[in-house]
Amino acid sequence: MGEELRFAYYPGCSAHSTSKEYETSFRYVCEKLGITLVDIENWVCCGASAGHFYDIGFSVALACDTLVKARDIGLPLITVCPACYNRLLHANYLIKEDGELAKRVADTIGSEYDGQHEVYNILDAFSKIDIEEAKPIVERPLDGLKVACYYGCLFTRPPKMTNFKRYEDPLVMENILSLTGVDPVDYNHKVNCCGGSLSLSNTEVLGKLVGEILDDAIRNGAEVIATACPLCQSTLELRQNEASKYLGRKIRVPITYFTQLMAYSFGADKKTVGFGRNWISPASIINDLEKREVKAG
Amino acid sequence: MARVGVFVCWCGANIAGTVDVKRVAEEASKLPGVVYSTDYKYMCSDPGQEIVRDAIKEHKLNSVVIAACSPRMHEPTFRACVADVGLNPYKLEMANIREHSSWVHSDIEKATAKAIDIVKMAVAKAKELEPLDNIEVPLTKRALVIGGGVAGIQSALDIADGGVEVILVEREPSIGGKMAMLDETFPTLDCSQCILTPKMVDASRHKNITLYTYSEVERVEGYIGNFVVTIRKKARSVDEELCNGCGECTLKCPVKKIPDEFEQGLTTRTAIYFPFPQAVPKIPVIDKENCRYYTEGKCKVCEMVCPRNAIRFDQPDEFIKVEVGAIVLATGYKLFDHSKIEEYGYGEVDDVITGLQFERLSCASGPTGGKIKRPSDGKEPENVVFIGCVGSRDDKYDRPYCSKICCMYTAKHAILLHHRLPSARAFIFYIDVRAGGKGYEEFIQRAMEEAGALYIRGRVSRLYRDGDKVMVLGYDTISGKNIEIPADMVVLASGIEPSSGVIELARNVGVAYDRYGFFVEAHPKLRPVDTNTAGVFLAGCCQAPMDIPDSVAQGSASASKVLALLSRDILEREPMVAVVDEETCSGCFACRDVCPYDAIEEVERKVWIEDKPDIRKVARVNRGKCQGCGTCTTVCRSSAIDIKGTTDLQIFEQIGALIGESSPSVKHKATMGEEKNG
Repeated sequence: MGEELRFAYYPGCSAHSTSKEYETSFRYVCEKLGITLVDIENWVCCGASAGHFYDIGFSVALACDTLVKARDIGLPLITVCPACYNRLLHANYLIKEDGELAKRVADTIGSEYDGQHEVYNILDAFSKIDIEEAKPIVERPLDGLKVACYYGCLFTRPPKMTNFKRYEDPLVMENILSLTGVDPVDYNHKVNCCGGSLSLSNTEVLGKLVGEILDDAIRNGAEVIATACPLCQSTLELRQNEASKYLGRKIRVPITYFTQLMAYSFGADKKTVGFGRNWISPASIINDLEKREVKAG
Repeated sequence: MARVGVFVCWCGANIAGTVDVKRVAEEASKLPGVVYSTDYKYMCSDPGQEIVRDAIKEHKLNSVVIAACSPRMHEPTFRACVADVGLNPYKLEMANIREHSSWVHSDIEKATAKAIDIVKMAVAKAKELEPLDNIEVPLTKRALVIGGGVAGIQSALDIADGGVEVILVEREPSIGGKMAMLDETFPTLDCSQCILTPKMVDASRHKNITLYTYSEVERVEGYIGNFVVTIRKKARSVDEELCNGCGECTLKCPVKKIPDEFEQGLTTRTAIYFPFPQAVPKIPVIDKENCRYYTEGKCKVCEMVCPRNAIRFDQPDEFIKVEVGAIVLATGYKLFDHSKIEEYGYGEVDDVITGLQFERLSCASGPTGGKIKRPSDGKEPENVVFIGCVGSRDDKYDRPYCSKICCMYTAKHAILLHHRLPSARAFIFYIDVRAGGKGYEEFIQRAMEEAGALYIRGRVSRLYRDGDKVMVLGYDTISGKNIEIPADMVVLASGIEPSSGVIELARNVGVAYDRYGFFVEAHPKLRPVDTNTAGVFLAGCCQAPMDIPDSVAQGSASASKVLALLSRDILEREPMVAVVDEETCSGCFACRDVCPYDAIEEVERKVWIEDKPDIRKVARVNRGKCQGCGTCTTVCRSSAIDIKGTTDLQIFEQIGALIGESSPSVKHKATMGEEKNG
């Protein structure tokens, strides 16, 4: 399958708590695709949320601690969480820019670091897969399932740091998911803010943000929304009441990790796919796919 | 024996306020070789010049030093002054004690001491000045204008009216440029074609103008007064003599789905086509990339239907060499490509059009016959959003400059929209409204009051398609509110960029261009249509963004420059050029490699080696091309090249005078790299 893909895996806190289904499906998909993951031992918080508001040096030191561990493994780091991805890129950027900070960080973590260790996000890594070659892996194709791929704000931005092509209208997740046979829908709000950071402080604005994204996706035909971000997943899934209130109509749409759809189509067991951990499970829609095909046939 | 006169100018208080001019004159009088020195309030005034002239006669001066301002200011004045009484004008040296001393210092003692040093150096050089004669260059009384837009047409017409032959070269199949695409023009709303097409016809019929359309300048050689230009006349595949422009071929051509460039892609054209109905010349062109015969080897329908048998599939490109004395660059502009803008949907959102597309929609001869219909479904739009500064004033796309025409054309679009569709509403997002110009601000007011355009100060953050509408998300910086407009059509005020291919042309002609590709004028205020390459002039948007009135003014300005140049029979140039001593030239031609003006030529010289004749190749400077930059002198291994008027000897004499040593010892140290204590 082309070059051998090997990464030092950094799960981050979400993958070990609220989004366990992301991690189980991700590990399974990697195994199937021949991607080797070497776990980073004793990883620490990436420095997101409270960390970088409290002290930027502290948050960079946290990120660098993990980066140094990955460097010592000798493999590029991979993370599934866009917030982790953002903090790690940020740390690399600041270490290269600011010599004073680099010194402070080295003192804190007890190790010199030059800001050069390579960081991959999950989409970058999967986009290296040759879709045509990987097709035989698919056991349960999801042909005809209308999926809206949702990226959220952090995957593509800031573009100068992420070097993301078409950062206002990315297509990479759609390309990867096409492997499973799904029918990605074209819609406008795939890189809009989900409102996750207002989750507790301003639910009114949150309802508007979530509502606009879901409304746009549903109106363009989406049955399931796929995401790659733990915070987006929980916000879009758990705030559908607020969104319904904003839109003035009841909406209910499953929000899954794109890796769950992949794992399902590759034939993973229920526990690994983890639809049972979704508040709104896409299982019934997916089960109906076969009936649809029968009808169409 | 040198007899130098020194004339110290007060320049009112400009010099005398900081420099003790009397003392400078007195010190000067003690310098060896100085036989006369004096000071005066305004040396450049009539009585001041009289003092100089009288002294030359009375004291038999053979060199003059004027200690005053920069040579860029009054050197020509004093050259003429000394020449009046028979002294060679190049036996004059300016000692700049104003810009180099009085203006930049405040301490009178120190400024005076420095002024004395400057005069000392000037006297040392003056003693070594040689009489020089101006260089006379013959010239070709013919001009080349590159670019057939309104600026180029105006320039060509004015030159031709002045009685000088003009060659007008246009890359497209017709002249007319961007102005031919416009509907009505600001601020008077007169029809663009109605005012332009007569000029186009005049240009094609003028007895002094030779028109080459569908042609490009391949190569420019030579120098002021004597350029040799190679023009590639691309094959139209149509015999221009036989064709009468009936257009039968264009009606029968089976390839009909090619996006029409003139209509900005809003409609399609055939493979053999006229760019537009009023094209000049009215001769069609076969687009070889799309023609079925050229791509598939069969068809030839046009040949069959042509009543005059004018189709020539085997016509080759023609190369024409012309000699011209002056060149006008009028290569115009292209629009900023908004597919670069991520937040505007990468140019992929339907019904988001450019300003030029709006012109075509609004134009009676355009694809909709002057009815404003949106491209996607032909519906008449109700809410139209105009976005200013697209690719202008935006560092993100390295376009920090203002494109100058967009504020005005957007106001015009709002008025045209109101005229064509009175029920439609115009929303204009702007950063600032820039309307400097006669009748311009009034025109903006007209857009607001008569056409009811709503001006919103702020930028648009995002455009996307939502069903039937284009959603426009923006921010009103005055009310501080987010604005969302479901628009039926969005018109982008796309900015101006230099035309494609201008960098190659600039290198070919040898003119400077800025980081965006605009050609650089010789002086932004005082020489706006000259370039730093003698004999090459600028007109229109190739120099900077400008509107039609400015482009026409520049067209005329460049024409008057060309006429002034070509009105002479002989060109006189300052003789400060490089000269090769052919005795000592070793023929290495390092000078030729570094010469930016291609002025070094190879000549054969007969020499005697051990009493036998031999031929040696040596360098010779073309005095017409040389600009006297001196680059060659620095690389010459045998010091065989000197610049007249700034010879090595003169420079070493100046340095010697300053440090109190003889010039041979200075030269020795400089060339041998002797160390201080060596």
